[in-house]
Amino acid sequence: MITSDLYYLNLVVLIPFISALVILLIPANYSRYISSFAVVATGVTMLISIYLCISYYLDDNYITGTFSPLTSIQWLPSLGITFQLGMDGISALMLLLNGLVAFGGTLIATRIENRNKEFFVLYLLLVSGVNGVFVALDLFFFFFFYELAVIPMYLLIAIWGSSTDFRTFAKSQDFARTKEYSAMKLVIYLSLGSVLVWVAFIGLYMFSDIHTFDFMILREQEFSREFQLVMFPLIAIGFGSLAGLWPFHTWSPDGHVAAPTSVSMLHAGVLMKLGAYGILRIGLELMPEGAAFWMPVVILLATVNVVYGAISAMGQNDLKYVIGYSSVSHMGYVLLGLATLNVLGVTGAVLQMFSHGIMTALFFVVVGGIYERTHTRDIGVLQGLFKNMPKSGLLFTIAGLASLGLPGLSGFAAELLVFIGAFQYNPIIGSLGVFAAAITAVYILRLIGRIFFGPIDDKWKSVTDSSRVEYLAGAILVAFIVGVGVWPFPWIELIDGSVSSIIGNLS
Amino acid sequence: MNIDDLIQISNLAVLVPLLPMASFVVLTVFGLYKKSQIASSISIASIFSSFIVSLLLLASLLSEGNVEGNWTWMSISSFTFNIGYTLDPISVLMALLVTSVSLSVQIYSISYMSGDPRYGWYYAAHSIFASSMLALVLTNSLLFLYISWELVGLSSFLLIGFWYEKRSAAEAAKKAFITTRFGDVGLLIAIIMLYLETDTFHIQEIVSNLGMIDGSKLTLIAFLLFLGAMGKSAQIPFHIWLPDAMEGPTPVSALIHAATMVAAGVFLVARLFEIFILQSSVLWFICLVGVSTSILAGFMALGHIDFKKILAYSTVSQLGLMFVALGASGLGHHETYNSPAAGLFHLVTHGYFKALLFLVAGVALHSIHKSSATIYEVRGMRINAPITSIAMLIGALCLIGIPPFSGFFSKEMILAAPLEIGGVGGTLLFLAVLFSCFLSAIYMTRLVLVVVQGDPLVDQGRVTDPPFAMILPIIVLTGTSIISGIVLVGPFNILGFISEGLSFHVDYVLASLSVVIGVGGIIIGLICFNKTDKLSPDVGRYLKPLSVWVDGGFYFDKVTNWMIQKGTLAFANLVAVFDRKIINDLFVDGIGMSPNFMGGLLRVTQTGYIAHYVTILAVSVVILFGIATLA
Repeated sequence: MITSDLYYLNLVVLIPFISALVILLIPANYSRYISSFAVVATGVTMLISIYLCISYYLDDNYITGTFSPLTSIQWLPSLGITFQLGMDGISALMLLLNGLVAFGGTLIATRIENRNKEFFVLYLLLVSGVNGVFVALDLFFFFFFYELAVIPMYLLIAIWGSSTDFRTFAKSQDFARTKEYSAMKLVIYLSLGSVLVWVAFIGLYMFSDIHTFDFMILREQEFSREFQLVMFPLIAIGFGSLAGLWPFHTWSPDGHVAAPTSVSMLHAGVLMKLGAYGILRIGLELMPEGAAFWMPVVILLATVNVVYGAISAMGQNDLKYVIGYSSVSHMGYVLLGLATLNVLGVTGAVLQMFSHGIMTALFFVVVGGIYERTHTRDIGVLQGLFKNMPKSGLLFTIAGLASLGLPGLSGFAAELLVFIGAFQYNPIIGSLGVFAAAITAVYILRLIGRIFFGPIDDKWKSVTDSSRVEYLAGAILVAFIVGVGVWPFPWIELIDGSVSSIIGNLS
Repeated sequence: MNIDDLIQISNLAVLVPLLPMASFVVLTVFGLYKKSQIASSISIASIFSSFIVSLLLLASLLSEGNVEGNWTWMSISSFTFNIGYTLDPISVLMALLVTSVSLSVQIYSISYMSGDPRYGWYYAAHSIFASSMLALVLTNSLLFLYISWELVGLSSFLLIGFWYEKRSAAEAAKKAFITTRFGDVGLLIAIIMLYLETDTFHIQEIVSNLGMIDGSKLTLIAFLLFLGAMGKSAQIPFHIWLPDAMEGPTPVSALIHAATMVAAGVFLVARLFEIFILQSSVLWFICLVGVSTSILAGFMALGHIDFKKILAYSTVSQLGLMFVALGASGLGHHETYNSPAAGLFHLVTHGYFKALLFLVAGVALHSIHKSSATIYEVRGMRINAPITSIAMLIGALCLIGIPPFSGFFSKEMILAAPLEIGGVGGTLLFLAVLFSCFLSAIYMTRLVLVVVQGDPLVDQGRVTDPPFAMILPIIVLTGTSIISGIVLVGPFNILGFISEGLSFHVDYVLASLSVVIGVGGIIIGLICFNKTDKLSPDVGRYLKPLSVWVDGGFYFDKVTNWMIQKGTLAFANLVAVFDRKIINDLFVDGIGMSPNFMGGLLRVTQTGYIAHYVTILAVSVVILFGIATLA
């Protein structure tokens, strides 16, 4: 093990956190410096995440899925709380995801003029919290970072978000809500979820032999079957609602729509993955018997997610809601993969977390750009934009093709593993998953066909293409979408060992 | 793996798809698509090299027999993924067909597409098509076959929607992709099921382990595989996308929607023939779908007046015949007939003559500067375009199956196949195939009569013979269309090549029957459609009861549109409203609002008036006192 990695692991959490504090000290009228500073901070975080991924992979740790490197500081010994960070292959991939999306989001957010100081403070706290969850190996700090990620969301949406302007829609529609409503719903949902999770955490603490929050000790311990059966639903629903588990998903499309572009990217791209990560890390690893008992229920709900989300997406005529519901559908694949409890399915689920994260972030880069330029999100009104926006069109098409599972792009590799895993569990569930991917093709291609192709409407004759910054943010994401798609093996290898060790625990 | 293994001629097979892929990457990633001349040169050079390599592979195959290259690409704890190629008669034959038609079409396009603002992009899309199509035919892994299968679909999408500013082109591209995608659901499910049963994606291994699979499961798998084939090869009810796909540039129709991609379904069934051969119910289903598609599409070809759509329906019809050949060969009692040879033979000959006919259509459309036209708009081709007219005539004779042109030989193989089954079913199938051949003779006669004969419309430009770069591929394809039949049954025994021991032998009764049917069709066509000028909606006069149906494409389009608009989209809207009104507003907001509501109820009691409080206090005391005394 390279000891310096230990510092780097702390840095991915600390850099965004400290940068947030530093920005607090910069006077608000230096707004250009603030945004440049934020870009540098997230850029460095991204580079460190990339480095951590590579070093974990080169170190051969990935084969067994050991946690490395591990930093461990006694915090409150009397309560069994330790400040303990470490990562395995799954965390490494999630760190990379957050690094990429956060950097892309910061690039997009440099456009923000209204109170950009406060925006970046909250944004960086959010990034730090998310990274913290992915590397925390102590339930107390897991929860701490989790809350750190959730709370800024409210302000980010309520202040910088956008309410729907109904006059921009051709047909009257009563789907969209105000940003205050969306922000409030999101926070209530996530807080209720975290209450359930916290109950389960306390339970784990109380029922552990030496009363500790230390994850490394807890994972060695076997909890009684009854305990697991009672506690697992709390984890599944608490984290599941964050992952968009049906029927606890309605906060997510609303939140996507109301949030400003860069926050939508983080929200759909990374925040929803926290839920899936929590189920995997806490649920599957600490309560294997509970998982085995309850998973048939989760698998049914996840199948509903996949099919229902796809059909709902087809029924929307608001650009952002289509993407919002497609997230519900795609997170369904993640939950489905997790719930199969076999190596292929869970590996596919983790890869899908990454794949969906970058792909949906890319969607929001483009959709946000279109909304900013045309001030409408109505699919019926937008038409033929490709003529003026070839770059946006290209980025959107790539994201769309990845989302419908085209081979050669990241979605296919992930979904194929989930399908095979689901088939092992039950052929009918697996077939429904495959079928839903075809429905995805319907709504995605319908969207591309409507808004980008066809003759350009006179109204949009003066619309400009993606700016350089948008294109750069998009290009980084595209590089990874194509990279994972064309060469999925290192990515699968990276997580395979960690997944196998979790699944090995199960049986 | 050691170096010696790598250095053998058959390993050149990997170059065949990789060269066009390299061309695609160079053109797109390095931005060379902006430079028209360079783009077309790179693309043509790459496909030409692939063609040469394919010839080398043929030589290697003839001298060394079937070869396979297999490498482990990836192996994790529970998942091994091999990648490799297989050189056998089927794959080499397909590679030669794809590279040669691709090459002709790309050369033809130099002048056809010149001046188009997205000329370079056109060639980039052609490159990725060639690459994925070649990977599809050469691979030995079902998973990789599926990957290429989807990429072929993507390139078809890109090329149909090449003129995306046209609403109709954008819609057609979308329709093609989505329709085939629903067939692909079956294909992917079948592949996953095969993987879970046999633990491999390797085609040869799967085939040799078929015994392990439960019988009814295997039937299901074969059926699902055929579903994928139906989508790609436009069999009823999936055929609706192919006529619309004619929105793409005409050379694209020649290559993708006539000669190669649409034949991928036939190729799939031929490639996995061992799976199908055990499933007589699925084979009958294949025959039934094939023959009904063939006849219905024949009528549709007869009913349409759009030049390219007539050819498209004719393609659908011929693909149906290929499936009949495959299904019937599988069902045949004769040992040697259990081979996909007949279907593949027709695939090859059809690939050449149908590409030829489309390129002829391209000449006509190019001359009048339109992307689609009715056959009446391009009349009088003989006057200024003699070479093109002769090429068209030869293409038509091939399709009708007049000896010694290529179609004659392959059609005879198709006719022979149902007779091998015997029984009532076999006889009926034979008669149906005969009828389909008869139909094709009529519609081709009509097409040639209208286009070649008559006087050109005054306001349209005249159809003239094109420049050299366009006429050369036409001449070459005419040559292959003429000789491919004779050469492939004579000096080069294609049937024996595909399945050992098989050879073509002329059954004189069958041959004369097929010629009589062909000539009969031509004569009837001549009688019906001779006076072309007066006969715009010509079918209406001679096939009155059918005309309504034929004009409407037998209502397939209408029914599917209705199902999509009224069925699927309405259902989707319903689900969306349900999610919003019931799940969100009623449950989520309802629960959110309930404390508010309860509070509202309680608030009524908090009036702030002392009098009210005292009253309530007094009443409560009385009630409590009453309870106490009663107790």
